[in-house]
Amino acid sequence: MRINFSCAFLFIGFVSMAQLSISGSVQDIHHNPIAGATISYPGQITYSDTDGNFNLTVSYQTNQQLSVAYLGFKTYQITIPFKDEISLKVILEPDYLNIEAVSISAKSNEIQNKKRISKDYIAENYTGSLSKSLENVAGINVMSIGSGASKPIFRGLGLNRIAVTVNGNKHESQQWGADHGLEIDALSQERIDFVKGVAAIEYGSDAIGGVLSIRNNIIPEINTFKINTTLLTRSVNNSVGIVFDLQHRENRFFQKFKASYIDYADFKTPTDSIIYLSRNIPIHKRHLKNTAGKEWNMFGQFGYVEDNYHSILTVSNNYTKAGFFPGAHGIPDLNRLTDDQNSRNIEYPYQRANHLTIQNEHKWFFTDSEFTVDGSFQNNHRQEMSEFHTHYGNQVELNTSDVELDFNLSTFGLNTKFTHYFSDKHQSNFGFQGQFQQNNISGYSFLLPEFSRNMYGAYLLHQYDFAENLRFDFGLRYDFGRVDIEEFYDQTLYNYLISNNYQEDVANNYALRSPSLSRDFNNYNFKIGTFYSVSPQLDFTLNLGSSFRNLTAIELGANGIHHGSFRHEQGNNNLDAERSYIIDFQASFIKEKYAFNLSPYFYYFSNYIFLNPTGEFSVLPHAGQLYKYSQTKALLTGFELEQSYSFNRFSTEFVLEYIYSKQTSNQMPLPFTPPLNAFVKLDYTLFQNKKYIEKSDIYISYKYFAKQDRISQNETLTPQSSVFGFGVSSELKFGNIKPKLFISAQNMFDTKYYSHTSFYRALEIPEQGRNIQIMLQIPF
Amino acid sequence: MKTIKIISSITLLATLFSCSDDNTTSSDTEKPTITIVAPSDAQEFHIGDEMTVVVDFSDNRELASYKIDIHYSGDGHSHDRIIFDENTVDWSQQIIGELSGKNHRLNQTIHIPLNANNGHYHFGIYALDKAGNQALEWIEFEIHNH
Repeated sequence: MRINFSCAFLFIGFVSMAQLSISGSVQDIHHNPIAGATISYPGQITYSDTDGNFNLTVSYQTNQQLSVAYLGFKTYQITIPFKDEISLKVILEPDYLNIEAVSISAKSNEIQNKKRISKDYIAENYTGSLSKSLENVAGINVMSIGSGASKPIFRGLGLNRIAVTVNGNKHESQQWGADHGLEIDALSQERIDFVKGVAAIEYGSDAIGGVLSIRNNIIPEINTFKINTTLLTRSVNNSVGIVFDLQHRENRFFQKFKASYIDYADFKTPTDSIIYLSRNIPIHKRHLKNTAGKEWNMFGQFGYVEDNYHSILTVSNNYTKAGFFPGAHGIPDLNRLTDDQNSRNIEYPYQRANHLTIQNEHKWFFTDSEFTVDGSFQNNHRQEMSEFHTHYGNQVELNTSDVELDFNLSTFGLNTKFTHYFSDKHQSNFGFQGQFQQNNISGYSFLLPEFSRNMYGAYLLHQYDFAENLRFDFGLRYDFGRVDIEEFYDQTLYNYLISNNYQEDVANNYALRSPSLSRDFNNYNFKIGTFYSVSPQLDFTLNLGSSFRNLTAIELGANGIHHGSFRHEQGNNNLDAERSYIIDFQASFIKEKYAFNLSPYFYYFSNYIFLNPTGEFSVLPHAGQLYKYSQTKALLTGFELEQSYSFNRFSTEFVLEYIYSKQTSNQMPLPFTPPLNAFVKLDYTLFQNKKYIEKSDIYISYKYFAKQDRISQNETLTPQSSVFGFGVSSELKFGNIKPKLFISAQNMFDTKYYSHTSFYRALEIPEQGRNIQIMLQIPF
Repeated sequence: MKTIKIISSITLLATLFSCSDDNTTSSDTEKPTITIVAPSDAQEFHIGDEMTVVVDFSDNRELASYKIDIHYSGDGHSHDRIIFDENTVDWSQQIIGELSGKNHRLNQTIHIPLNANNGHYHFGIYALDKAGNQALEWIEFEIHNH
């Protein structure tokens, strides 16, 4: 081991005896204290406390080193001089190539079950989109749509039951839809915190399964100028991508600029045909036709920083265009699945989406308080393009536009937060949040109505530090708001049904695709949290709370065929907001090279919204039975278990997840519940401190999904799967330049397997085949 | 004291995991099976024909209902309305009926209207069992003028 870039400040006292008194504090590069770090000197060992402080008295030994070590960070060492009193401030640098870059450290002020995911973890685990890159993090599963898009699932809950925030603002897009992904650039984010379980107090509606709190507004250090270029290529979809990242700060002003572009072809899947609805559908050349796509991102950030104030303006834009497999919309036409000899073209049907975010944050720091105000604007414009087609033979409108669906969603948000430190034992946070949202539609098909929504929330979160190792918090939140949905009446459908001899009232019911309705809502939520640290290595967190989610326009008023799910869905204005009560517990043990984390949880939904099959057929073509949104009680429980251990040049990681769910209406599990799964990784440091190689690690990984036979109605059973991965991660050095090179293989053996939570599961399409990818990051 | 509280919370959570699944009663997740005997896949018809439909249904518990869904699926070229004769329509017909028992053979005759467009059509059969499990089978057929 050698001295690295961690820094320390020595304050030197006068020489007296052979006994030295060493004290200090241990922090990470974000100035968060690190508790439980091992501070050792020959003959003495101690650990930093919850504030990161330590002290020890040693007998001086010539030229011996003091070591400060903590899992996930590069060990810091310094030769102790012969001085009476020494005070050290140690800042540990993350050990990016150590698998524990998913850091369990940084005991922050909040009592939350939180996991920090570093930018380097995402780069090393990048698999085409952000959520999929996080799928081996305990508690996270993924719903993937093709090879370039995915959405996260936290503890089995997804869509509108989770929240993704960027710099504190909820990402607002068509979250209810399962056939598109999260419009967030995976490789430009700076830090991600995964908050599990109880998070409704600060985040409001939708934060039921958890919150992915993404930040890209971390203030750079003074006098820094960094440029980073990343090149990547992936074999499973022949993608090529480039990312450019620049940040600059002199003194008070800083600027960041990022741009990326990725282009990918149809993805490969290890099968020559799929059997769907007992038809044999060919998959020519093992490429899933028309799943090619492209994505580009632009990001600009400008900030002004003073000692007691900062202001940050962020503008970012994400554009994606991706094809849909032609067999995924309704009943596949075999002649549309013939090989078009071009794996990079994007033909009909395809989707494209543009997500623009503008955000401005102001923060003031006072002696015992902080005040933050931020305003944001988001626009999510999503279109689904498909050759004009109609199911109703009489649709006479000569429509040459091929825009099938067009949703234009604009959201204005305002967040204010005031934190006051009454003493070092009491602290309170007050927050007020408001959001206005408007959805406009067009296109020749109808799915989601026009609506406007106002939501307001206020919360209070108080923290009480009873002792250094025992902390409590409690929170209350009140939300209220209103949604106005516009009517949509399909005259063409009415005419079609009348001409097919249906009764007038039947035709009317089907033609009213969404009623005009207004709905007010209000919700109360609470939270109680306890943090108890038995020792610097072992601590427990227990959170109890409630969470909720407001109803979507689809759940309130839809009436028609959702081609993404192949069902005729009917909304219900008599539903109440979804509500759950959560107990979330975490036990964490970290000692030297070993870390263990167990996180069981229990959710009781007093009101869970689901699509209930009615047993009555829809009269419409392309539709089976009617599904009506209904409510029931439900329970969801499970646990995550993680363990990591380093010895010599090896490190290992193990993650186990189990989820059990049940809804009381039909005694069946909740749909899309992931099965028991386990992830194992074994990493070996091949080279260290060689001429051109700073560090190089080689790893193998294994992911196991048990069979999922606890299925919901009209779901498909998914067999078990075993998938292997392999990789070499290296930090190289050429003079002052230290590029990072990640070479990896996913699904090493080209295994044919299915994912229970994949959007294409219903079509019996297996997961992506073998992927070999190379990512090179070049910093300057 | 705090340790006892923590241990008892863990024990409480552990007891919840020991609750077994009461799958004993009616969790029927098995879909019915559908065998389309007639028409046959890619069969050709003419306008004015009587299409003979024979479908066999079976279920592990109890059948409930069926739906025949016939609709135009295009001729492989553009769906643009402009190129079609204004006197013809994309024929679309849905028939819903009841089923019973564990096995049921459906015999039906469907008249192909004189103003139906030429081209490919989908012929789909949905079946529901009493528990609400849904099955779907489909084939293609063609309509040609004389």
